[in-house]
Amino acid sequence: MLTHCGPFPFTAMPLHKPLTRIVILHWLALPLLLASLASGLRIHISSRLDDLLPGIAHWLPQGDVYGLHLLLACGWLALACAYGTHLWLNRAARPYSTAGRMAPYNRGLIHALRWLLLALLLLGLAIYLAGSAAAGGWLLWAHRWLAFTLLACFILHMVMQAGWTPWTQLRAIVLPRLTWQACVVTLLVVLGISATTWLLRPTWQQATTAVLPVGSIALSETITVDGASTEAAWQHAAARTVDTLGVGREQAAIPVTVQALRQGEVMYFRFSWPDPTPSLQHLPLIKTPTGWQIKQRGLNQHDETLYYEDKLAIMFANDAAAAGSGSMQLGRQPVHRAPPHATGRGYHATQGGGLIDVWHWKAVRTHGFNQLDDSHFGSPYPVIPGDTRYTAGYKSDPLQAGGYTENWAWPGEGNIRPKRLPRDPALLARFQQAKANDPSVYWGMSWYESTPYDSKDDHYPVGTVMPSVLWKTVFEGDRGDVQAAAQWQQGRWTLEAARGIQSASPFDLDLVDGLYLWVAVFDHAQIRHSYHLRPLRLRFD
Amino acid sequence: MQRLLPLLAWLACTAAAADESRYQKLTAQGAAQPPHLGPWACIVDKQTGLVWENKTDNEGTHLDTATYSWFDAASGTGKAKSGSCINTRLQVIPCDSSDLIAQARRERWCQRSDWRLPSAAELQGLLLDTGFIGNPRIATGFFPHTGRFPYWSADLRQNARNGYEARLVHFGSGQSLWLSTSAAARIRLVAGPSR
Repeated sequence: MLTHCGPFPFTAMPLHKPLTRIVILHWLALPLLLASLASGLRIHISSRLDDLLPGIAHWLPQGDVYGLHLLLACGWLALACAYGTHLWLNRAARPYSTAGRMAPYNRGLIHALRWLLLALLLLGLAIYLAGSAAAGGWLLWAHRWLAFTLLACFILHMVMQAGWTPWTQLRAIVLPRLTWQACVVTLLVVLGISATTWLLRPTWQQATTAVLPVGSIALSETITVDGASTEAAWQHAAARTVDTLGVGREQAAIPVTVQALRQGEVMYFRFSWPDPTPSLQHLPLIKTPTGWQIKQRGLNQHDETLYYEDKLAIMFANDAAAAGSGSMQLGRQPVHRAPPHATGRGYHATQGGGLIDVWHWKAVRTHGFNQLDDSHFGSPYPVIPGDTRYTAGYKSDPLQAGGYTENWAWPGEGNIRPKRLPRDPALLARFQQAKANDPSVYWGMSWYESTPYDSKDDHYPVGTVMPSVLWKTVFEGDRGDVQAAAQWQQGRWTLEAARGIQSASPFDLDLVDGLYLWVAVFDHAQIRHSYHLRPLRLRFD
Repeated sequence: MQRLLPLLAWLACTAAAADESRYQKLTAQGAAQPPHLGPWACIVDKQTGLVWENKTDNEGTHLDTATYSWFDAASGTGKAKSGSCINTRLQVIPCDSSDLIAQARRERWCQRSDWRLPSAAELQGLLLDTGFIGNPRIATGFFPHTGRFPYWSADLRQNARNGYEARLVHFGSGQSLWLSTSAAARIRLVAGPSR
C-alpha cells in the first residue's frame, strides 16, 4: 500500500526520497521567496522613496515589514541548512532537470539561484550584523540588486520548466505523491531549525548588539549641558559610532558618535555627527506682492526637505528588535482604518502596548529652551476629528504650558495670514541679511517680542522674510523632562542631553543598564531621517 | 485585552469619522469653511445646531488662556471682575463671564448676537476621549487651543453659606464639578437656543 501526504494520487509510483525533499523544499521556498521579495520591495520603496513599479506598492505588505523580513530570513536560514543536508545526503546523484533541450540552461539557472540565495542570505546576515550603512551602503546595494536578479532568474526558471514540460512540472510540484517518511523528516528538520533560530533570537540579538559603555563620574565633577563638551569627562568617556543611512536616492551614510556618562541619579549623553550646512531656517515667511507666503516645497505633504531645521532623534527601548524595536510601520496605511500616510512611507507605532521613549532635538524650535522635545512612540492613537496630520503612535509627551508655535493662523501653499508681527520691525533686520546656512542666525522670534497680526501694522516691503517659529517659554510638564543644548562647529553638530536615570512619567523609560538606543539624523528634513537597524545597548561600567 | 484592541481602535475610528462630519467650521463673518481649511472663528455642531466659539492663542477677546469669574450682569448673581483677560486694546484686565458674552455679542462674532454660557450638558456633549492624556478631551482638530482645564457652564446653585456655585466641566479629566462663582476658570461661549 502506498503512503503519501500529497492530495491526489496522480503518479503511479511515489517519488523517491531525494525528490520528495526537493518538492518540499520548493513548497517552502516559494512562499518564502515571494514574501521576502515583497517585504524587501516595501523596504526598498520606503527607504529610497522610489516610485519603482507604480501601483505595486498597494500590494506589498505593510506594518512591521523589517520584522517580517528578518523572520523570513530565519526561514531561509533553516531552509539553507535543510538544503545543505539534502545535498550532502544526495551527493552521489547527478543534477536533474526535465526542461527538455533547455535542460543544460535550466541546470545553470538552478545553480545561479542556489548561489544567489546563498549570497543574499550572507549579505542579509552581514547587513544585520554590521548595519545597513556598512561598507558605505554597498552591502545593501548588492543585496537589493541580487534580489532583483534572483527574481529574474526565478521567473526564467519557471518559464523554462513550464515551457517544455508544463504538465509534468505542475504535477510534480503541486500534486506530488510523496513518501511520508521523507515528508515528515524534511518538515521536522525545517521546522526544528526555524523554531530553534526563533527561540534563540533574544540570546543572539543580545550577543550581537554593540555595547555603549556608560562610565560613572564623581558627584564633584561638573558637566554643563551646553554642546561644547569641554569637560574632561567627555574626553575620557567611551565613544561608539553608529553608521546611519539616509533615505532617498542618495542614501548618504551619516555616522553618529554617541557617548554616555552617569553621575549619581543623572545620565548624560553626547551625540556628534557631521553636517557641513547647519540648517537654522524653519519654514520662513516671505512677503510677496500678493501677501505673506510660507517658503516650502513639501509642507502640504508634511514632507518638507528644504526650508527645514536640522534635527536629531534618539530612541530608547527595552527590546532590541531591529528597526526601532519594531516601531517602523511601513506602507501607506499600516494602521487599520487610520488615514493613509501622505508620502506612503508609513508611521511609527509600537505593537502590543509597548512604549519607546523618543528624544527629539530640534535645532530651531527648541533653541534657547535648554531642552529637547521629549516624545514617545506608543500604540497607534485614535484619529482625532479635524486633525490635519495623523501620527499614529508618535506624540510629544504631555505639556502643561510653554513651548513653541508657528507664526501662521493656518498653513497653506498660497497666501497666509501671519499670526504675529514683531513689536519692533528692526527685529527682522538680521534675517534679511543672513546668508544661507548662517550658523549664527536662528530663525525664530520670541512670542513676547511680537504682537498679534494687524494689517494696519504690516508695512513690510515685498521680499521681507520673517521667521515662522515663535518661542514662548520652556516646556512645562513631561515634555520638558530632558535638558539639552547643541552647538555647530567646524562641520559638526554636537548635542548634549541630560535626564534623571529614573523617570516618573508614564511616557518615559528609566535609563537603566541593558536599555537599547537608536539615533536618527534629520538633515533639514521634516520626516526623512537616516536610520540604523540594530541598536546600541547601554552597559553600566 | 490585546484581542479587544482592534475592536477599540475600530470603534475610536468610527467615532472619529462621525465627529468629522458632525462639525462645521465658520469664519468670523459666519461663512462655512471646509474642514481642511482655516483659520476659523466658530464651530457649528450639526447634531445640536449650536454654534461654539473657537479660541485662539493670540491676545484678544477669544484668548484661550483668559480666565473669568462667573457673573450674571442682569441679575447681579455671582462675582464680578475676578478673572484675568485681555481687552481689544490688548490690555490685561480683570473680567467675568458677562464681559465676554457682552463683547462677543457686540462683535456679532460669526454673525451671532445670542452668545451665552453653555449648560453643563451642552459642554459635556463636546467631550471626546482622544486616547492620550496629553490632549484635552475634545475634537481638537475643530477645537484647538482647548486647555486641560475647567470651563464654566451656566448651571448655577446656591451653596450652604448662601453663596453661589456654578458648574464646571473639566476638559482634562472629563469630570464636572461645582465651584464658587468667585473662582476663575476658562469659558467657551455658545450661541443658539438652550436645550
